[in-house]
Amino acid sequence: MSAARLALATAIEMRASKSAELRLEEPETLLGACGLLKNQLESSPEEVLRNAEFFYRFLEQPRRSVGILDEREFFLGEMALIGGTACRLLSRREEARRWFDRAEAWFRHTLNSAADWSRLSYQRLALKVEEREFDEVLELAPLLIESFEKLEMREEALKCRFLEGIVLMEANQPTRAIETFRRIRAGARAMGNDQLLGTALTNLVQLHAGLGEAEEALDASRHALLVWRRLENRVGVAKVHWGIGDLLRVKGQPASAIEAYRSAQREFTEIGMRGDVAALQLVVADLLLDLAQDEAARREIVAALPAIDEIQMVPEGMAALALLRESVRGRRIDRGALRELHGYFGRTSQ
Amino acid sequence: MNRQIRNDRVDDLFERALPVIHSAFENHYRLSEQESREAEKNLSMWFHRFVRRTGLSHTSARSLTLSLLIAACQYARSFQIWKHQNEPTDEALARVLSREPCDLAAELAEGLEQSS
Repeated sequence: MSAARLALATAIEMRASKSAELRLEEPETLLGACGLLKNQLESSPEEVLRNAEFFYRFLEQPRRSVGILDEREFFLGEMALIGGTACRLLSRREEARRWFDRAEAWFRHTLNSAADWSRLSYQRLALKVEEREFDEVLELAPLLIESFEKLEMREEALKCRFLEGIVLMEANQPTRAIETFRRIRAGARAMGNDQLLGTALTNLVQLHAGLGEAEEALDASRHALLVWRRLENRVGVAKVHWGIGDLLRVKGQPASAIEAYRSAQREFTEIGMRGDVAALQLVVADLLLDLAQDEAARREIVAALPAIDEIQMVPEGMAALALLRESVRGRRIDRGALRELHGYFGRTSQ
Repeated sequence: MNRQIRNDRVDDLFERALPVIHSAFENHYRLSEQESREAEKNLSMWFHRFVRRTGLSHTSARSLTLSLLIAACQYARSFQIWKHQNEPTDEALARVLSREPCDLAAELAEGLEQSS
């Protein structure tokens, strides 16, 4: 692991020239680097993307001898998958798709290609969730879960259930979604998987908050924060604050809700998750309108628009964006467009 | 599972499959004794890294063993194809080299299961 840490601690522009000293072509170094980068995905996706791209380009050209058998192909596929996942978290969806295509091409040649492709399929499905292709996700998720179970990949099967749960949340079926996430919570506890447990709890916070179930929401948030702080996962902490904001909003406490949303925004800003920052700006704008602070609401929306432009919005979202932009110019905000638009920002787990 | 326990488990799996691998190397793929030992050493290192890939932490011993045998057959096949590029091989070796490594590996895995 120390060779991998040393490689990642070395400035990217210096690495290729020091490749022998850093042992960049050794499978142990690459395996360690893959592990470290995956652990950093939620906390610093931008940096992970830069590193994943470095390793991918370094291994691809010139053709280097890495380990034996399928190791070169595996590390190329894995770095591409990591890069694509980072892009997805950063809402850079076209780039994510290109990275996933690269991963697919390399995983074709790995010994365990069924498992590697299944992991790639999970990331592609997660992207479909973010693009609100809900019907497709509900159709494909059970098939992928079955693949994972046949391949004895229980953790991945559970993560796939998350996608079902998230789609149920987004499709406004909270009761079914709560049922799904309670199942996932139990499965994650049984496996001793804190990451999955934290994500299930965070989604339960949001769901209970949406139903105004304060006790359940706060109970879930307490447990979730414990888990995320233990894991030093800032995205997780931010999402719990977001859920608490939702609860306070439903309880008719807009000022307190805004405070909670601001806490979440600060975390997302520092991580570089501009899509989530923009989504929260729209939510806060909606609340500011409730507080008759129209000018402040307008400023929030104007601040969010550049980031929203950069994110590749689905076509339905583009229509809402156009309406909202127009209404802001006219200084009378279209609340329908505002609410519709912030519904197009998903909060999917990794 | 902590790293040491996992390493021990991986060593056990490898050792259990080694006689079958060695036999496949020498009898099917016609590697020499020295070539077989070298191949087994490389394969062991590869296998220790393989089981640390994402998604394999709960994979059964049976599945991991099959993966190991496929890897062994691929390794030996690639080695012999490279070694005999411009030289004629005997018919038996040519037949083995024309087979998909996973097919032979599946047979070896079945044999290993039946014998244990």
